[in-house]
Amino acid sequence: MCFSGCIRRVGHRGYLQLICCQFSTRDDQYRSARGAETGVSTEIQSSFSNMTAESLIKENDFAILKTGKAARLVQLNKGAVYVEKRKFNCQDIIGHPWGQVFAITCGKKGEATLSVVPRQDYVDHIFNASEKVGSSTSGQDNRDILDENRSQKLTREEITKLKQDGASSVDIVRSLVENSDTFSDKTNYSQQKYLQKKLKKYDSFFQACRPTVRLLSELYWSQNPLKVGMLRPDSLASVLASANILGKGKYIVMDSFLGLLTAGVLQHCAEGQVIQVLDYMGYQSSTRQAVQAIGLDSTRLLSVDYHLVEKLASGLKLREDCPEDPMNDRRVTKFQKNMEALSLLQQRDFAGLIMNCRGDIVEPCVLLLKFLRLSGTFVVFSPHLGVITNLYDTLKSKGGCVMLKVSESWIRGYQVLENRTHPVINMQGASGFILTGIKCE
Amino acid sequence: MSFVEHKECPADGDTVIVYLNFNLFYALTLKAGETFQTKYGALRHNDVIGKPYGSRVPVKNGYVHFLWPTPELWTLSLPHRTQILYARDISLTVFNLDLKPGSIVIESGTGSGSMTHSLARAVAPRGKVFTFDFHQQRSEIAQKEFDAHGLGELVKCAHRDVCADGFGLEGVADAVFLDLPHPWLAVEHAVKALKDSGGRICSFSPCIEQVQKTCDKFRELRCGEITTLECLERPYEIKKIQMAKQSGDPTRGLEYFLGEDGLPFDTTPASEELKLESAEGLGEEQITKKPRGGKTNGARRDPGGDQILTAVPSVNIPGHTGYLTFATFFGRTEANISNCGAVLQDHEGIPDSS
Repeated sequence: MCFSGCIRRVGHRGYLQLICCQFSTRDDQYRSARGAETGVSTEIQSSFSNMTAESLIKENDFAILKTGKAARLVQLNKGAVYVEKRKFNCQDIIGHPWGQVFAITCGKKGEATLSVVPRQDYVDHIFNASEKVGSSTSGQDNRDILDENRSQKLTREEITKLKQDGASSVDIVRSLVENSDTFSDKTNYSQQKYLQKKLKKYDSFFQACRPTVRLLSELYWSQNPLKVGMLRPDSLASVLASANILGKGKYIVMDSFLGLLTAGVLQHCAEGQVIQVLDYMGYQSSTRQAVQAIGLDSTRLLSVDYHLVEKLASGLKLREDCPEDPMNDRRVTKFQKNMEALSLLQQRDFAGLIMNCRGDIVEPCVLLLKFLRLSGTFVVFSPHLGVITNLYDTLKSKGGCVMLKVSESWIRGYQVLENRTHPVINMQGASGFILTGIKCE
Repeated sequence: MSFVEHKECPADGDTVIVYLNFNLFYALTLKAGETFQTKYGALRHNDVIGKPYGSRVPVKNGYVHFLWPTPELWTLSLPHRTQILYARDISLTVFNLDLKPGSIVIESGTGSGSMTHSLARAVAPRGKVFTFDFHQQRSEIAQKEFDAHGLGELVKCAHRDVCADGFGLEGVADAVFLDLPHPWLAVEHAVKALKDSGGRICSFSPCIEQVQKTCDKFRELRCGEITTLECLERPYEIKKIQMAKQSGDPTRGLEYFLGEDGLPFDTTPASEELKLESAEGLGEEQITKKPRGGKTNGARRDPGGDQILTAVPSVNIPGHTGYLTFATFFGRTEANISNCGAVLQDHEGIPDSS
């Protein structure tokens, strides 16, 4: 008899229980002969144990509030949050599980209230809303449809009134369909497209998502690519992979953009150390935004100004005393943090260097590479091919590195629907450029 | 040694990447006393053992480097037992599956283990990778390889036809990655394997028909946020090129005009009126400059001009690897959970886990 680990977690909202049960499959015989296991161990069980507290939204947490149209990053402190230009109290969101969907309903005086939408209802809505709108007939093609912009009989005012009366998106879209002269003549595919588009427009749901590197990366990129220095999400994916970030490694990150790259690195080196080198603008309030938003352990993260690193590299010795300033604790702490970062750098055994920064990259890259150990990886991102080309040339002529490679990525989305599969119309044209390499003797 | 925990110098039995040049490198398992033949001469394993990764080792006709084996280098040098996934697809998958240290991820099929190494790195040190392959020998070789690469604790291989038999794992995974000939047959099992709170699934398929069937299955099982995409790497070559002056050699073709006097211009000095603004600065110096190359052989003539540094895309690149389809399973509702539980309890012999 062979028990392989089939584990099942039962419960909800963090009430967990594990039951092991037998594989009930055809190849049991084979398995007992070989004694194979999928090897589910007690480690898995322990990884579930602290999920209770983690799965609920707490005060001061950052959350990504996602609607069908847009997403925004908010911090849930005492104040209000805005979704779709409506104001809500943070307390309405705090205490619910991550991923909770809320519906916005309008009160009589135009004030909005939130209600919790069970997951099942939300999923049903996603998949069944267009069926619920209902339509009886459809046309063969568009030969009889004239584009006169007169087919919709419902006026803007009437739609606004429907919304204010608390009509659901399904109700509104149903009225739109009923008041459209041409809807029933459209082809089935065209009707579906119309319904999906309109439902998305009038939906009043949002989901409170726990920020992840992916979600933040997509959010920032959709808001404005310049926010993240044109580092497209798939390029970030490639940068993080090429950097070979190991759990216990020490990494140097020169990141000027909201701490997104820093957060990605910090998350992957779960027990390691990250030094964020600050560009010519120094420490700013947004320097660690993504790190805070994801709620990463920032005790493993130190920041240091580039000009200090430059002085360290020029051979200046670190002082042994610490200036005392009883009037200003923050200044002392800042000094100590910088000191700590510099003395760590001095060991010159960092496992990797990852850069996406404002201003010059050639000089800092050459300098920071000195703090890497042999076989350490480095990845530099820039939206400008010319800049990356210069860096490549500099590194190549200086030597001391192998596997130098410059690349960009090409990405294309597809609409996959029955009889309607094709590449999506819009394409992301600028991935930026990545230079990767390995330091060696 | 372990791919996911650094150490400074390789020991007997460790894997290193022997690097000759950008297009020529090998994965090598070190064995004291042995030698490895390279293009530049024999490399003695003993010259590598005990030296820091990244060092340069002299061989008969030059030198080679040996490097820390990253999953990316491994992907480019591993012994192929199947078609494998390459860096861009792997990085995008790991990123889009929201993998992080501690995640539990399921993979099928194991294949040559190219993807598995990256999955293991992403979930280390406390996570788990369960990887399945319906080919028994492949699965066994892969497990040996993972053990040798110090991933034994992280990665568990099993021989299993997941389309027919499922994963044997329910409600435990954060993410599932499918690279199968018939992925749509495994989607339901993948959903079952995900945690009650939901999770992400990715399917990699080279053909669009596979993608269509898989997407249909995702929709049928009420998985949302379905995105299909294709991602390719565009490498660039960095070159120094000579930007030859178009005025090049002003004596060229003079024999046709029977000398300077035969040019189609009047001999009177250039008129200020006719001078084009854009031509300013093209002074006498350039027109009268002596050509730098020899006059006798046109082909060898140096046209002058500056050398500039530039990047040019590589000419031949892979145009298609596969389509990546991502979907989110929103999680089980309370009703669903109790149903599932009931089904499981029908089985006999449920051991007590505590």
